[in-house]
Amino acid sequence: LILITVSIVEDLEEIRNGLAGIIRMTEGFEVLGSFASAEEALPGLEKDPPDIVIMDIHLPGLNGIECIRQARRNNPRIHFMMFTIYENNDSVFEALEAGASGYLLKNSSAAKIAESLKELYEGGSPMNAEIAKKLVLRFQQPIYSQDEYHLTVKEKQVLQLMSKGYLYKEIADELNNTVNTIKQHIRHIYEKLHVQNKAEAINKVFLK
Amino acid sequence: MRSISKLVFETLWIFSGQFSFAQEYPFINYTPKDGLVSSRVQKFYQDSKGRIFFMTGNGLSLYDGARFLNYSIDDGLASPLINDVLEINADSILVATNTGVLNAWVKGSIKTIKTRNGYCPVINKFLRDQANVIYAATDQGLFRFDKDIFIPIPISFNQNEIACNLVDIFAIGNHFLLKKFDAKYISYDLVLVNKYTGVISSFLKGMAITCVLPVTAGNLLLVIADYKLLSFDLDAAGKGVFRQINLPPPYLSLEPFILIKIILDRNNNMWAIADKAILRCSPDGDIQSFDRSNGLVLNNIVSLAVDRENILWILSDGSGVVKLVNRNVRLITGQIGKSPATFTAIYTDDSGNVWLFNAEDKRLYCQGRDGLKSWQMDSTLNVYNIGSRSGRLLLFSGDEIFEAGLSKKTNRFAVRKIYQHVNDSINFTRAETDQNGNIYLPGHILAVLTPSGRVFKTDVPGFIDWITFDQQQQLWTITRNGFLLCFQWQPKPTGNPLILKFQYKVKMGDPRSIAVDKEGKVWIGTRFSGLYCLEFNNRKLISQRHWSTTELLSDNFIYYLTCDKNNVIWAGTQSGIDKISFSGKVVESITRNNNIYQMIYKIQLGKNSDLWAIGSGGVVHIQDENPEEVHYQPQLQIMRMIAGDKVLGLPSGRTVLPSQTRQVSFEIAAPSFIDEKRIAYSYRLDGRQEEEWSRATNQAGFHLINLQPGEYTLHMKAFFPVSKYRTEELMYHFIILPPWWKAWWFYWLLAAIFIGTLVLFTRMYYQKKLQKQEVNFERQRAIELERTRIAMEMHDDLGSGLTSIRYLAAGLATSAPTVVKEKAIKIESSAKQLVDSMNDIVWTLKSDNNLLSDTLNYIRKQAGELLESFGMEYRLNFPMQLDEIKLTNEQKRNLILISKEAVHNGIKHSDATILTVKAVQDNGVLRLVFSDNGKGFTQEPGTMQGNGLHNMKRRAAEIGASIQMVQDSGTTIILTMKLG
Repeated sequence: LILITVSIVEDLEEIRNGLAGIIRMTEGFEVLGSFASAEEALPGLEKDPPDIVIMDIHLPGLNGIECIRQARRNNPRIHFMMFTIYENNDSVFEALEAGASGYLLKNSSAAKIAESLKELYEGGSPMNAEIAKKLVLRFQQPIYSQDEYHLTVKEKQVLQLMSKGYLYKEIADELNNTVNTIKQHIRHIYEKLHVQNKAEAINKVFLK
Repeated sequence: MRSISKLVFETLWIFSGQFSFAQEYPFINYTPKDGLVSSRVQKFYQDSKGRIFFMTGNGLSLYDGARFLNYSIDDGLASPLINDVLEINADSILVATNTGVLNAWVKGSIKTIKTRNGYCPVINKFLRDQANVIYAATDQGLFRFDKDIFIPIPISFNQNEIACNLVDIFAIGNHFLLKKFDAKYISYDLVLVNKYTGVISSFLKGMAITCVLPVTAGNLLLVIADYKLLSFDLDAAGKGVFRQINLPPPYLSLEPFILIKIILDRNNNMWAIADKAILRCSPDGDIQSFDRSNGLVLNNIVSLAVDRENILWILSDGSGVVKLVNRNVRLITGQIGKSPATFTAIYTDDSGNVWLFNAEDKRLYCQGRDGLKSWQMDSTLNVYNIGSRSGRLLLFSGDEIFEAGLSKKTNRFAVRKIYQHVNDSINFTRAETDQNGNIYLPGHILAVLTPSGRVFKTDVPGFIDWITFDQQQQLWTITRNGFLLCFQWQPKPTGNPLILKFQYKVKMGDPRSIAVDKEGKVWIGTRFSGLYCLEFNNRKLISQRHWSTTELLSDNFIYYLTCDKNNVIWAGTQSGIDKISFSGKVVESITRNNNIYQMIYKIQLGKNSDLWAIGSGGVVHIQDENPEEVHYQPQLQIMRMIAGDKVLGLPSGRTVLPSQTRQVSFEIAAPSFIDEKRIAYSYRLDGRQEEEWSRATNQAGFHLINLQPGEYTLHMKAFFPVSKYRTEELMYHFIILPPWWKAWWFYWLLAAIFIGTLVLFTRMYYQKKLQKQEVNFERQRAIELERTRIAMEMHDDLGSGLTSIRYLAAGLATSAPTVVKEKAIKIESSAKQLVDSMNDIVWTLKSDNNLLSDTLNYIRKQAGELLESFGMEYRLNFPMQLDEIKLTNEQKRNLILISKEAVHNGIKHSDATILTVKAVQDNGVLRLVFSDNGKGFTQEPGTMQGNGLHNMKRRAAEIGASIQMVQDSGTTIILTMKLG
């Protein structure tokens, strides 16, 4: 049995420990490290890269988003899961752009947390109406009309329905698909977002 | 010379024997006193606008009927002696003076024409032929005038060029007929020159040629040579041959006279200048002579002309010019032969004889077809009126009536008194006779003397002057106090046969004379107020018209009225004879037109469409006038325009005057010379307040004062009261420019500046307002943002705090003893719920979720998640497209909370298996419908459901919405909210 390794970056000790407790109690998961700050986390993640990092956004010092950016540079295969109190937090989208693959509400039940982690590891990415709305706008920008980042018709439909508050199940019904396929689409959408983000980053580097 | 004079004298004397009455004709003389430039008038020319140019030995006079415009060397003429003029086109006329310079009269001023080569011969006569080519007979020979150059046409005879000193030129066939001065014999020759070769075909030499007159109608070329009228074949002359033919019969009458010049008038009368008189030879050959004895006082007559109105103009070198207008009117003055004459009575009988009584010699005169005859009457007899009855003359003295019969044997009149006056109330001088031989004697009573000698006296309401008969032989009369009476003569065994048929009191002052026309209209002449025409229908007055001197009657005292067979009314007034014709439209004062002014007592209609009138100055005889219509219509024209002090001459098109112009004068004319002083003019000026026609006056000029800048149209009219011409109208535009500060461009500029300023200020104002609004808005936004930020931060802190509590509680729950554990779980769930609620609050606080669609999407998602988590079947029916309507934070929050409550109620309390949420946006109203298939709803307050419903209603009220609940098979909660 391979255990999925998880590291936690969370400044509040109670939460960090609570979360760690939940993960430890979840079958198939193992807590690899837990850090109170980005500065602390970066060398830790470097030294001991986990499969998934649960990352609080608001950290003292370097924030979660910057931490993702830097950590991904050295270790692009780590899945980052944003850890937030409110799902409509602006920073979530920013983090997704920076390379996070999903988000986790701090308020989620233990079961939900476990489910989300599993899903992420298996390739799914959580999404909500707010994020979908922002993605629709983001993909209307000229650079996304290029082939490489071009959303397929299906992906567009998913995003549209998502932004209107449809649940995965409803979207699946609407588009005659399974929930998994929908999740797949969402995953692709994120990838395209990350690719774009990378391209932007590369451009920035080379054009300087 | 003496023998010729004697012959003429005798001839005239013989002819004057035919005219026993001394006659005067209305000659009118124009001299420098009237404005003519010089009394030495040589030639006459009438242009296409009817104006007359008099060429004199000392300048040029243009007469338009209203004024003489004079031109002398001071005005630019090269020489005072004018030889000829020729119209090139309207208002531009060539003027040849007796010098080698060509002038032109152009729009009122004299110009000098510069020829291309600078050469100009001394022109004596112009000719424009049918091809419109202009030729000039000059001292230097024959020339063609081509635009601006004189091209010589060489004339040769036997290869010798000879022609010079040409004074006159005619185009006849393919020849020119030239009149040439022969210096050797000091006389004039005629030459026929081929038009195309310039070769002379024929001469008429050695005879003193004074006049040439081609008469196309009779194929005649009339020539006066050696003071005799000769005639040649015109066609032959056109082919280059002088072939003399016999004078046609009418002109034979002129053979005895010494002739100098001849012309033909429009009625084919030939007028001739003889050495002592002007002669008229009618187409029948009748000769009439005009000289000093009948009013023609002129010395040195040099030329005659007939204008387009058939007026004769007699030109004299020294005495100006004389016109003779109506040759059908003559005045028989107080002279018969050499004896003085005072005519007191006139009568025209049925045979066409005119009877006159001369009080001077007590002779009765009769002008008949055989001439004038006379009979000596008793020296005591005074005849004031003549009539006739049964072929016998009736002679009326002051108080007696005589019947006079002419004895053929003795050629004397046998006179018998038939009535003597009874009292003073009867006036014999105005007696009239009817068809039955009744003699009517008007006065204070109306007496009728029948042929059988009976006398009927009829009382009348006032004094009557005249009686008249209408077509039905009814007798009409009017009293001086205004009673119009109509009688019928109805013979019966007893009593007065004169029956009053009709009486009408007229409303006019002092009636005197009366006539009834062919249409039954009653014409009444008054003492002071002119003439009235009354029309009756069934004895009711239906119309009344009035004429006075204002309507150009010669006088307002109408002494006598009569109606001729053409239904023309003739009025004898204090100062002449007026003719009212064309149903009263035209009043024509015949005597005044002919310069005759006298009181007319009585008018008698002659049998030959002529008219005889007796007046204070003699007898006026008016013959049937103008049998030939004259085809002429005067043109109203502007002769001069004067703006301020500046004479603008003949204006063309329209005139633009400078802005300071305040006064503009127009001198106008409508050339007609019948009685030019009587032409009336009126104007109306469009462009300022008063736009009425001015009162028609004889002033041929308008003086417009106090003009302001603007556009004007001057409308002008000319009326021709003395002739039958149509009223002429003319209009003329002129503009007085506004001063620059009133010019249109200045107004536009002002307007542009004004509008620009307005726009600028408006823009500034709105910009400022916008800025202010923006500032306000920004401030508002900043406040909003700040508030949101504070709320968000607070919620972030609270959220993370609560999360910490939750995790602590969760930790506690895993490890603590059961009593604590239960409490820990409760703490955890409360904290979780609080965070969930805060999630909603944080969502509503965010500004990018302002649209209705955002809220509905959120509600949809919440409901879906909630229902999903409870594993309940559900249907969410939300519109895909929604209007872009913004919601306030309050609305967002309350809508979300109401929805949550409604869904929660459906899940928790209804035992329903399916829940449907539906959102409808329709006509500005949002409807959220939550329906389940559960057991229903308890509304009682205090219960959870009751509280929930109460909460929903309260929240709905906060945002102006309403909640409705329907309980059917299940529960339906409907939220209705007005949008916008």
